[in-house]
Amino acid sequence: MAEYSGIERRLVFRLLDYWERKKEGRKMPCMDDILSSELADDWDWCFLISLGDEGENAIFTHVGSLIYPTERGDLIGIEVSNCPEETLIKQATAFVPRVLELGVPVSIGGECEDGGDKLLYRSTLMPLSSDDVFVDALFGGANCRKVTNG
Amino acid sequence: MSQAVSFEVDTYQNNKWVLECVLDDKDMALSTAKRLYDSKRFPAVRVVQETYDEVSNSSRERVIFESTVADRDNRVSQQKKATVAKKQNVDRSERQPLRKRPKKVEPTKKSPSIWVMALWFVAILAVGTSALVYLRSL
Repeated sequence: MAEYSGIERRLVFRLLDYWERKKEGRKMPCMDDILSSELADDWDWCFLISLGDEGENAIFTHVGSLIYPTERGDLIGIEVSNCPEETLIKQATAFVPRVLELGVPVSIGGECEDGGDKLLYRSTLMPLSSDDVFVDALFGGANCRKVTNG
Repeated sequence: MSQAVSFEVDTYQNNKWVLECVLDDKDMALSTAKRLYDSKRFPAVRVVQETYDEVSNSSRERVIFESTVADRDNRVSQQKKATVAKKQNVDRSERQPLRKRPKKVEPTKKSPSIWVMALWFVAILAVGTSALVYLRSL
């Protein structure tokens, strides 16, 4: 099993804590509760996804510049299923169905390829709801470090 | 092996366990559970390890961590106990050193003074000389 240094874990813990704080007595926060100003530098490692009525048509509404560099293209408005292969953002969104099924945050880590680099990553995906019943958006984040050979 | 392991963090609310989050990392799950528990919003938290076997399409669940209010109370009372013991140790060190019981001074036997001894010597000498003078005069 991959070993993670603290840096990958700390982002996930911070995001989970933030999501937890934003609940304020509800099952989950809503998309408007997630503020870039409150997340500071972490915002560049985060992404937001809006969902259709039945959890379909998952579309990116925010993609941080560190999780997917802007020079590779703009993912805003792109469907999650059309996410480029072998990217960190692809890995970080791979478990959308599980979050929708469970309705709770899910955190996954492992190895992946991104831009030709082998990475150790840790990601989290958290549900958001405007009516506290149906999940209509997702808030996620991931960070990583390069796997060095030898 | 085609087994997937995940760790579910549950909190106890309104007499039932509620799933809070799912992680694939045991340490993170334990840490998350402890953080939730330390928030004092839940009377108990637990971490359930779920092992899913793709071949048999079955899963096994095992509670690997559970902490309740009783545990917290015990921990608090143990901390208090340790603090009290520490305090007692401090008190002990700050106590005045025990006073030694004063020794009973035994009355010393007075030995005869040197002047008395000298007087006795002179007296014996005088008696002896007188006795010799008397015997010679016979």
